[in-house]
Amino acid sequence: MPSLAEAMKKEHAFLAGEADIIVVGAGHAGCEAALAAARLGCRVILFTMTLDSLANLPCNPNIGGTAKGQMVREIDALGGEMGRLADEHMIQFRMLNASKGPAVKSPRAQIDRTGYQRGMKHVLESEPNIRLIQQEIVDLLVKEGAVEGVIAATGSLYRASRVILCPGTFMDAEVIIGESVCSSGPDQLAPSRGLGDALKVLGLPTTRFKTGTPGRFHFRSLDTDVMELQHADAVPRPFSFDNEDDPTWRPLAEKPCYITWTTAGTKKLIEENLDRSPLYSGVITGIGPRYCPSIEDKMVKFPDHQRHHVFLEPTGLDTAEMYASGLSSSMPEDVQAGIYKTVPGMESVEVMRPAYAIEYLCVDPTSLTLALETKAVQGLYLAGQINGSSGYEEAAAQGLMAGINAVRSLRGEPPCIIDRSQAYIGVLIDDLVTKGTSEPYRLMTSRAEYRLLLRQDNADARLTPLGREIGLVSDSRWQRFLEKQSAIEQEKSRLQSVRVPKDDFSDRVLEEAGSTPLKHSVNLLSLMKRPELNYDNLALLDPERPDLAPSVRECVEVDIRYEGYIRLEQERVDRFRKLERRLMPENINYKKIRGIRLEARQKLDERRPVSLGQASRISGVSPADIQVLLVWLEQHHRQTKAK
Amino acid sequence: MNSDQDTIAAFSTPPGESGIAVMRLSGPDAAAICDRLFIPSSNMFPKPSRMKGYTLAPGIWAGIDDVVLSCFRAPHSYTGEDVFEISCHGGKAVREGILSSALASGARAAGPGEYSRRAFLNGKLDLAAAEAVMDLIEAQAEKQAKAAYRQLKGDLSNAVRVRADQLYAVLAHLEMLLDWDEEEEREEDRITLTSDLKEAESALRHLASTFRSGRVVREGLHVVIAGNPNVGKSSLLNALSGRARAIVSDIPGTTRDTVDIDLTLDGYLLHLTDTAGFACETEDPIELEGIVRAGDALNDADVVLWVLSPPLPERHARYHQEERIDALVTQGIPVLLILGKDDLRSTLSYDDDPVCYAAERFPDLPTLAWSYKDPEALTKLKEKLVTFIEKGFLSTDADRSEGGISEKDRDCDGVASAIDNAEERDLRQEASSGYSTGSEVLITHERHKAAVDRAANLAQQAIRDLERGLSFDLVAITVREAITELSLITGDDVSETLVEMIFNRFCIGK
Repeated sequence: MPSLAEAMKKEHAFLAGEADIIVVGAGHAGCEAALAAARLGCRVILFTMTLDSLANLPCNPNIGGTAKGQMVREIDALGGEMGRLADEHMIQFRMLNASKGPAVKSPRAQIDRTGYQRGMKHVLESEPNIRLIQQEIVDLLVKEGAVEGVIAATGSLYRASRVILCPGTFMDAEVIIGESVCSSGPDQLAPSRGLGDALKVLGLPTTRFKTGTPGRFHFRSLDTDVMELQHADAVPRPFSFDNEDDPTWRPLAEKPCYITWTTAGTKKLIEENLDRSPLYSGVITGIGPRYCPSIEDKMVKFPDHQRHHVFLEPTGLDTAEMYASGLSSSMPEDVQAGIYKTVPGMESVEVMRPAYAIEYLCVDPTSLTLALETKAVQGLYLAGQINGSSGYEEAAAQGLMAGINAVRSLRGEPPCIIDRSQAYIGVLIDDLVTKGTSEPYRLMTSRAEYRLLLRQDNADARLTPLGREIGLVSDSRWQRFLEKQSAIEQEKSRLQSVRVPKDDFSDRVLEEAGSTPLKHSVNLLSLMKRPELNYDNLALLDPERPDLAPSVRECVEVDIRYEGYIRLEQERVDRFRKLERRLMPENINYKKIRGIRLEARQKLDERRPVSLGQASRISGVSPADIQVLLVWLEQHHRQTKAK
Repeated sequence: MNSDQDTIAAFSTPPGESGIAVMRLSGPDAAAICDRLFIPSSNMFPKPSRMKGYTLAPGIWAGIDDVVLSCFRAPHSYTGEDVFEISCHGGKAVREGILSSALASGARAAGPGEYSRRAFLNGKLDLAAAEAVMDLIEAQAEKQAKAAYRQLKGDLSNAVRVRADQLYAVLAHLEMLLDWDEEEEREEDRITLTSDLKEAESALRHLASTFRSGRVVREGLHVVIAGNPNVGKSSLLNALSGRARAIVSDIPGTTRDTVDIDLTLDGYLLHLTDTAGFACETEDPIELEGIVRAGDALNDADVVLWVLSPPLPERHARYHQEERIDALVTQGIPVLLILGKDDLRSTLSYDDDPVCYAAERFPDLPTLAWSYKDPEALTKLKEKLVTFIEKGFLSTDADRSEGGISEKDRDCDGVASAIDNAEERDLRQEASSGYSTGSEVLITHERHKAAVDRAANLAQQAIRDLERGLSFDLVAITVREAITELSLITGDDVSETLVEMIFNRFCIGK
């Protein structure tokens, strides 16, 4: 790997640009990274292999969903871009899990794909600190273990002391459709070559993951009459705090989805052609995600299921392309065509893009710090699918944090690490970096230990102060945030002061709400804690109620009704934090600590956790090992103090 | 791992019989727990740091033992936290009763070395002492590693894992609904979840109920031989131990004190206690003291072998004897009636025949025809004791009806029978070797028992929450906590196992 000085010695060497931070790849991770860094005042160069495909949504045409929707709101609270753009290009909104409890209520929106891309390009172009350049980056400039810049395929050199790599699924990518294997990125875009080799040379552990996407079909060829219609929610909700409670905000359109099911015919056809599936014939060796199985995978793993859901989703405002969620496949095209014929409503479907599987190179994320910097090369950050994650939201969150942390490191500030009790972003990054992943990693609410605290309704309360501290929250947003928080507190104390007398009227109202009469007078706040009661059915007992913004009301209601559970969860968090706050000294020699088992010793030595809490989550490190470390740390601490 | 913020309880005196035992409570809730456990015995102004009184079993409102309570307020205590010490009598039943009351009142069973660790972390030990603690914990880590290895091979953690799997299945179902199901809540899910949880809860209760017999495996079975004077108690002891340890004679009251022998039977440890006979006419002070000790021994027994031999005592003594046996049955202590001098049976009248007497007066108690001259009888007795250790009940003779499972060996909530037989078989097959005794895995440690109990209680709470209509996200919190309790035994990484389970059980993904 050349250093900048070495590369400059070459004949016709051309230093084409300099910046504080270079971001390679303009997908969801790269765009957020570049924007965060630029908005924090750094000069940024953002490279993309083609300017016409940045911020692409090459798979599902939606943003949000369980855990992901919460995370989009977190990204927004910290000052990221995804939420705002999704609001702008939304063509359908649904709040998933509305009836299953506040912890899992998850916003999800269908997105106008090309609109989103254009929107992002516009945002990037409007940012004075960003230079957007179409250029393939094939190698890195490294001197004495620190990154110095990048080399483009044309040979041009670019200098920066911080480089964030966000190549998504493009590194050494291969697209597989049945027996056909070709070197390509998603959507027939060129793969990225060279960068993967550079990472291997640097000693980063790499592996190949596999994922896939279903076909796209012309809307006119679908018989939607035989399908079930799935409409948008009556009340759409924006992701971004900027649009919250804004009566003028609404989605671009309200396009429905259509639901159909596979049949016994589908199953039979797939079973007959299993030998032609690259998954089972051995052509695909990469590890695929379990949460996003191809249709042939589902048939093999769940032979008892007679039918599987298929969702047909609009991919944009002005396009007829429909995405067939549930029919992801890497079967040959002729088998794919046969499969579609067996699905009601798709018998005469016009395929616009076939389903395909894609294999790509990624890096074992345990080789990163929690700031997403590689441990091997100083100043080199990785974000997005290169770290083994999947999903636009997961990528955006990592990009945002890598961007922020690259800036902080430039300024000599400590990194900003969000922990598992603060945000899904923390769960995501800690899972990847501490535990690693053996398949493309998707965030799920079940991965969060403190799910009840990580809600979509309080994402702003959780992270706006941090975003403000980082420097990505504007004065006006900060003002609005403070006003909202004080409105919430005011309403809670008002509810506490309003007493409901025990009388015939209250008896009647409570009875109508399916509750039991009062024994004596109580305040509204405690009444609201009864499971069967809520803001709405207590309206008659609260005549003085002020006109509240819907978001304020939602927070008040959740805070009050789940107060007991939230308090218990908070206690668990306090215990968790105690371990997180016990930092491991950087130069700790695990081999010299007696009492740690061999396996744990190796893992600790390799991963070098920053805190005792992080150490406790490394697989292979037992509670007994942690006890030993705990005592060792205390001892170490005292010895240091004594000196 | 264990938190350093909760309140822990453990006996700080060594295990085994002793005159006085001291249970130490340390942590922020120590005072509150003592409030629940301890009632001062007089209203006289007590010395604030030391009080006499008695302990209560919570909820039962019955005294366990007269105790002395000593209090050391933070930071002036060994651990630097609030420490309360309850000095009680050293009997096993008392110790167990007080510790489990403390656990039921909110304390957690302390792990080995935990008091010292807290003392160290709170700055109560200097660096030199810290080195010692370090060594201790180090040794413990090694032990834990070995224990973990043993558990990997099977035994207890396997049995717990089978139960935990039932909870995982429920949680995976919940999580599937929360993370992957696009539809809103359906009533049938609530019903399925409730019934699955009920099954899991009964399985946990059943596992917890093996604790008593499990402890027997670890600490040994306390077998007390009792009966009226001169019925052949000492001969029985000698036969079992295979040597003449107790003095055998024909003079009633030869065994004036209790005689203890430890021996092994099929690899199990047995503590045999031969008691003085319960003669009621004696005025000999030594003999009287022997009788008192015999009574104490009986209360601590795991099994009582009550010897009945011809000639049966006269009415008054017989009444006393019956009273004592009934008392044992009421206390839930299993009694095996040894019908002695079987070789003389043909010469006996109906009134003097112990077999007829036992059948008439104690039809529910298991019996064994005994003659020290008959080697068969000894084999049978040993078999019965081994069966008791392994299965937790005394088998009856073939000619008696099935019965004979004493109350205490039945599941506390009577739910054991609810477990499907086929499933029980599976559970037994899963669990092999180690603490398992061939047929069923037993819980041998108070700490494990406490974890299983807590898991069962949490499962119960989740069932209630489902029935109350609470949202699934909240129910999931409780079920996850129940699994976390069990993971203290299995050492599983809950979230990894869960994710695995979700994907294996449900066809997920669009």
